[in-house]
Amino acid sequence: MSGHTVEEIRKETRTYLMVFGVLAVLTVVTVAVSYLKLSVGLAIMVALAIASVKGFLVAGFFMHLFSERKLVYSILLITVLFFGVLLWGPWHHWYNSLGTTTTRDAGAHSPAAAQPHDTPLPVAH
Amino acid sequence: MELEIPYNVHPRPDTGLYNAKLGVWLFLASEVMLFGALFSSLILLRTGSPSWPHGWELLNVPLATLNTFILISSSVTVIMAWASLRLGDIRKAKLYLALTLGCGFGFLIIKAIEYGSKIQHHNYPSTNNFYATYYVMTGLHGLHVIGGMILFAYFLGPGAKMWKTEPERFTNRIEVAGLYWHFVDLVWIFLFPTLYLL
Repeated sequence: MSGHTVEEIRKETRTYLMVFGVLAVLTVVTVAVSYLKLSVGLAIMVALAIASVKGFLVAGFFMHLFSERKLVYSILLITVLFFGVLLWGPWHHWYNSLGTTTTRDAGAHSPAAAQPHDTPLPVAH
Repeated sequence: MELEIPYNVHPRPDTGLYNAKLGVWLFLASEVMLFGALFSSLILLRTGSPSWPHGWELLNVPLATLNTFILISSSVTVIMAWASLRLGDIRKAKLYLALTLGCGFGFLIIKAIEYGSKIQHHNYPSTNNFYATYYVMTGLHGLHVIGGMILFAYFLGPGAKMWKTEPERFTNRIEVAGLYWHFVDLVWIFLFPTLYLL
């Protein structure tokens, strides 16, 4: 089937349970950090860093990416490149707005900021 | 004469993968782009908006935390189902699949409670951009959970007959269904802090 012995499979299952434990702890840490009321920039960095570690564990152990075939890595490499392009768009928009009249300052002048029904959003601190 | 589909059990010599596995990875690549577009839109909306609420001010963090635990637990149960099949234990595998299905139900019930509370307070997707992105992203993710649950219900029921005739192919099916399910878990791992905690 997979060419692994019974003992190897049992060892794998113990690893899965350990990974589950780490994921559970990291979930608690993510929530706990959110109560620290960090600045928005720092909070985003910390939350995404923890999420990335969790994602790395799920992809690496549960989706077996630590021991996958080259073709899967090639597919994922192309995916990551295109995903990067998707994220480059909003980053470029934000970067361009720095030092000038920012879209945040511009408020309703930004098409992205337009609210469908003029319902005000609570202001972020 | 029955036509046998090649490389359903053993890997193709050129790719090193059995076909279903290659297929599911290509599908997951397209899924990354689908959710990636939504994350990209969220960033654009948030950075371009004059004000944006903190998720924890408007959404129920304890319920979402519970849902995170449920989903990562279901990732473990589905991989334990696969491991049980590799050990030849179909009964245990079915038990783990049933647990995975139960986790899926639990996740959806909690999501329904959350949606119900939002709707009760007249917070709809049309209310503002925050709720629009919240409903679209969690709604699409919820549809993926439902899709996975349909798969696992099939493998618990009529699909399990394959174990008697083609056990290796059935084991591979659980593996690729598991890959999909782990991806659904992975998306939630990023959705949870992005929408609820920031």
